[in-house]
Amino acid sequence: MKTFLTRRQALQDAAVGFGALALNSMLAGERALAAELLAKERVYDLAPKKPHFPAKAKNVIFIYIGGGPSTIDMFDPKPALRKYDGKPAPFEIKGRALNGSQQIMASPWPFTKCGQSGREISNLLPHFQKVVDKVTFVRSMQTDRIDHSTAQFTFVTGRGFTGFPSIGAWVSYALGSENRSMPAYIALGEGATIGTRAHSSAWLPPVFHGTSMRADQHAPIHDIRRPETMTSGQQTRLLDMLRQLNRTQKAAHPFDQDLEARIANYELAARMQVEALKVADLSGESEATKKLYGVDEKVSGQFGKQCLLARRLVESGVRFVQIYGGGGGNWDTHNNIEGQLPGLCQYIDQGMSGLLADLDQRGMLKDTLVVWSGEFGRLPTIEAKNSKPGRDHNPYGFSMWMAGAGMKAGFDFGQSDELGYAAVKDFKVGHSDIHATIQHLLGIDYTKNTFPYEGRDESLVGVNQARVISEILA
Amino acid sequence: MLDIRMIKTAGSVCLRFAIAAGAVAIPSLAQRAPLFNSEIQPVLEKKCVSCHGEQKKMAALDLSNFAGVMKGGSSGPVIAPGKPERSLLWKMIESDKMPLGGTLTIAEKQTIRAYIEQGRFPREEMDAAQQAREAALITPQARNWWSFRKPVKAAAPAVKNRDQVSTAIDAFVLAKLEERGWKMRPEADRVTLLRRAYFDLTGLPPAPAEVKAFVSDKSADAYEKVIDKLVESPGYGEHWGRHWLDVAGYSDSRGDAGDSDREVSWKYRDYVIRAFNKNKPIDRFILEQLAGDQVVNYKPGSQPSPEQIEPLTATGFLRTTADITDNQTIYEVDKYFDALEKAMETSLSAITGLTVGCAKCHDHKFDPILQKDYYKLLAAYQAVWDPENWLAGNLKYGPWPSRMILDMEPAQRDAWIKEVTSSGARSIRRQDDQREAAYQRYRAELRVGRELSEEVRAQIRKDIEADPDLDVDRNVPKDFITDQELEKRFPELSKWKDEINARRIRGRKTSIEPNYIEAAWDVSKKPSPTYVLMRGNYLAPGAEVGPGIPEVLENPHSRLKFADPEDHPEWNHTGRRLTLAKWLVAPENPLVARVFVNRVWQFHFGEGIVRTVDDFGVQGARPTHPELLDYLAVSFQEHGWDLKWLTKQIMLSRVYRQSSEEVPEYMTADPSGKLLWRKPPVRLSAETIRDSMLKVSGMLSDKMYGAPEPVKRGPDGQWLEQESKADPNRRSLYLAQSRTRQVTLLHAFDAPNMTSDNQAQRFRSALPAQSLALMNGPLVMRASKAFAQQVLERSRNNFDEAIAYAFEAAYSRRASAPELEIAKRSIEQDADPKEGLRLFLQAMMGANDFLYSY
Repeated sequence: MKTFLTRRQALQDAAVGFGALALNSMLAGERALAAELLAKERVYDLAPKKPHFPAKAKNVIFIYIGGGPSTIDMFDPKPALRKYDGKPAPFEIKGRALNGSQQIMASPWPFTKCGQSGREISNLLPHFQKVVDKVTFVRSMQTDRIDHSTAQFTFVTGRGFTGFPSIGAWVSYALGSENRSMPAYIALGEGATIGTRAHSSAWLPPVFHGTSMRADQHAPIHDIRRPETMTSGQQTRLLDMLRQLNRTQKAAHPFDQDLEARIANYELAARMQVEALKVADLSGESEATKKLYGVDEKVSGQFGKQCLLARRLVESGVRFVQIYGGGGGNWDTHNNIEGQLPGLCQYIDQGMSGLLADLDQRGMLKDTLVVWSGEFGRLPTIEAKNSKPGRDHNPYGFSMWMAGAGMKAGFDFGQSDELGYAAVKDFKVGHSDIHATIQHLLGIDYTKNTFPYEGRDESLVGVNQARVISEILA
Repeated sequence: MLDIRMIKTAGSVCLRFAIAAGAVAIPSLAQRAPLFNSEIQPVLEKKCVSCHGEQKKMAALDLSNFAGVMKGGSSGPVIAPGKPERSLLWKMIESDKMPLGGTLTIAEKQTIRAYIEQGRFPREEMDAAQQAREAALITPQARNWWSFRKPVKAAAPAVKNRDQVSTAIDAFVLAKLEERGWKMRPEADRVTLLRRAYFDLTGLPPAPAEVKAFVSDKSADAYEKVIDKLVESPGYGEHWGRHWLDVAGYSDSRGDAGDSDREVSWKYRDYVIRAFNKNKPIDRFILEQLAGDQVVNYKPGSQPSPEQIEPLTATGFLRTTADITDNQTIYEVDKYFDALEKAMETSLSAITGLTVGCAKCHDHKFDPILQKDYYKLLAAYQAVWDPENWLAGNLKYGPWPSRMILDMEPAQRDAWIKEVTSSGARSIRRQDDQREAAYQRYRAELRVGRELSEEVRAQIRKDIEADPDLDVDRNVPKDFITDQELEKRFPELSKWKDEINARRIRGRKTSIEPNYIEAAWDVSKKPSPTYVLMRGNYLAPGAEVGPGIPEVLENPHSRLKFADPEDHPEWNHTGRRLTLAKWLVAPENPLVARVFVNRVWQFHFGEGIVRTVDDFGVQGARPTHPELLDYLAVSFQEHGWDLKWLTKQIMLSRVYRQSSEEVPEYMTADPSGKLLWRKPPVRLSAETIRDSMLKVSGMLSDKMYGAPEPVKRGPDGQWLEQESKADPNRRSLYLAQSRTRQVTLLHAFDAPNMTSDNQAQRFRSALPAQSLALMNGPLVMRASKAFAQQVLERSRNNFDEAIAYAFEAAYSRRASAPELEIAKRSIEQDADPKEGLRLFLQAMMGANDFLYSY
């Protein structure tokens, strides 16, 4: 029978707490028997597991910007675009061709040289300009899908189709969680076209499914809060009654670990109710911290809260946090990029930059990996259809960044051509390379992190070609 | 009236539209290659065929079909695959030497150039090495794999404890136990047995009166009578139907980018429920689902006759898998293949327990399934999902035709098609879009916390109403902001919504209500060719293959023949799926009956005799009781694939009737209970848990069938029943089941959302989310309140009686002394004794006795 999460955990927890009553009431011999029973079954749980080799990173915060952010307008300056601005491209730009044109559009925003690394960052990202030295860019990303949903699936699950586990589920499966009162994989906000499938466990056991959480201290998780009609005294009594009823009812099946797990889960849920509400409650953060993330800012506040919450989650031992950056509008800037992109950048700038600074000042950046990417970038040309110019999808060459644990801070890897159209041949990096690299940093051998599915030992990378991008590792 | 020819033409018109738009430039990396039938042929037909066609054939060149184009003319070949500059066809059109007196448009030229550069030019023959490899894989041993051999009914083995045997099933199980000197558990007590029967056959607990009647019926066949009664109750089809929908991968949404609703998917759901309730023979059930259209020789484009409706609806089975080709106009070829492959793989694994997916890219590493076999199977399905003749799915507003079959009088039908493709329909669509766009803009504003001045609000509305190129992104995330929240903040939205709705209703008033089925049917009798695709890539076609079955399952002495539809002018289809389906349910087929009876076993015991219910191959588990499996498979076939008969055989067995009592010694030696020394306790399914809450609290609606009940976002972002709608308290299988909007409670208890293709075996997890749902969730609050009210009314506010009644309703038994103590304390401790009772009833619903069938 497939029963997940809990058998081993129930037993382990029994030693320290809520299951103790039950197990202490068993005879010592029975307990040994129960332990033996457990050892024979394969269990899937969130107990922390040893990595394959010593890890650089303990946790991941993955900022996923669904919609296709225009990286050539953000942190991938292309001075040549000035030269051709308004003119035809010097070589053919093959877009999706629906509304494509060959007319180049330079970035409407100036770039400023920043930090010791001297990299140029668009003035759309004034906060990011201040933390850019902590960041490693991969400037030669490519993907083989050109529309949102398939490219998004590809970027988180390795396959351009629905139904595969996403990276956070794979990581949780490999490493478990450090916090026994919270799920291992948490998704903040929404924003991927593919919805919750972007943090699905698919056919991995559901215990590895990403739990949706929102930066709202009142109701951060579904059903987490006691209904208004119930007093806390009543809830305590409810939990007492549940425990007593379950104990009584379990007498007929003293060895059933599934029933035992259910008893344990009420305790865990009760702890989660406290823990999740505690983690989601940002009021204890200092004014300076709140300011750093801009949580009270009108435009950037929501994302800032999510970033701050992400830090708090990682701090509490959550393994993998996925933040969606789609809340500020639509990154799919087919038209009027000049009108739209400033607001979008403003929405994420302070939060993500504050996150890097805050992690650093707390010494957490050394074992937390922060990853930022969209599913693809945008073309250097104007999308022709629109009176207010925009840019179409560009899967051929775009940028992403990583920072923190195990990364060469301030380093750039790869490049695209002078127009920012296509990644240059020798440096092409695909989603599977990123998946391999992230797992590597976590101490996971990406070829060995497998699960039997439909007759195969499936993995995140699967049959795709992949390599750990060792050039960017410290 | 439309006939098939018109459908084809209209179909390729819309395809051509899409493709013309996509063909201006061909992206090198997206590897977008044009397809011959749908993209090249129309150009040639328009510009070349009048001279270089079948009739005139000038320069001995016939450009009307693929073979002619490849053959070339009097100057030799006109196409050099991969090399436009060396292709005569390209040279002539590029220089505008051809067509005489005309030119091709730039787009047409680029399409043809791209086709020559990277089109599908299949290799003629597989090389000898490959053939040798294939021969080496299909060895006599491979053909002799246990599940590939025809099942044989063995005599029931002799056993020592004959008093534990009342059916053959018992002898097979007991014989294995006795090898270890073990016994079966004694029969479960009557109440446990009755609850087990109710949960297994209806997915609901028995009512107190039913328990009483059974316990007091002392006749020898009391239990048998209950089974007979339950298999005839409507809940039987609903509960079995739910399981089959898991196997089929049923969903009410498409799984495309916005996860759009499948408007009439529920007709297939109802077909399934009815089939089980009618006890449709399972071989017929399989035949109809795989090839119902061909069974009744449905003529595409015609109005189905009344007797055709049911078998056509059955083919909804093939439409369950995710299809992301909607709402997309370009670069879809790979998605066409995705959809075709998923439909084939999922339906075959449901019926045959074979996972052929691995053979898509190469010969199967473990099972003797060749890559060629995969494409032969694909060919059987290709006439429905023809990548070169694609029918879109979501076509509520036109264009027409689609994969939907209109069940309407021809005149009405034509009028409706005219209406949905008219400008009026477009304006309704536009109104929907306006509303959607307004919502999106406001939502975005609300999310970033911007205050909107009156002027800005007015401007948004003006912009949206005036925008000729309204850009509606239905995929915009909804975040956790609910519509109610939005409308509270921006009152004009609800006003505007009403306005638009009123206009819509007015606009629709005159319109005809369409009646249609989403079915699978052959788009043509001559689908495009199927090739073995190298590494599964449609741009690398190898040898052409026809429909067929895996080589290892072929009878070398009498290979399965797929007739040429050209030899059967009376056919309206290729006959391919029908041939396949008939072979599957033929008595000689080694897999299908075994796979099905194994599912029935799993349905009752939680695990199959083969525990990997969808993998009977080398990687799958071996049967724990192979002779029993074969005995059941053969008997089932002998009894005309009668499921109710089989169900009764299993439920009357001593194996099934055992208690679930633990035996530490057995548990240690056989922790997962493979030897069936007891009836394992099973956690109830998500649907049964929800339905039971509704039933014991007296809220369950008995309305069957029809469109699904809508779901909505709750205050905390959960998905909930829409209480304001007609019937929120219907059984769970009638709630809308989308891939992304799944009722939170059902999701927590492992109801599949079909983001994977299908799920024939549920996870039975124990997660804290389940505890949260039972501590704080809206349903448990609602149900416990109604439950308390009901028991108090019944007992006229006598709390002792109320508790007694609650135990009978929820647990079918009396309270134990400690339980009674807990209940009384709760009533005493609460300031409001009624609330104390409710709280206790909530605890009852969250406790193990409510969630398990023992």
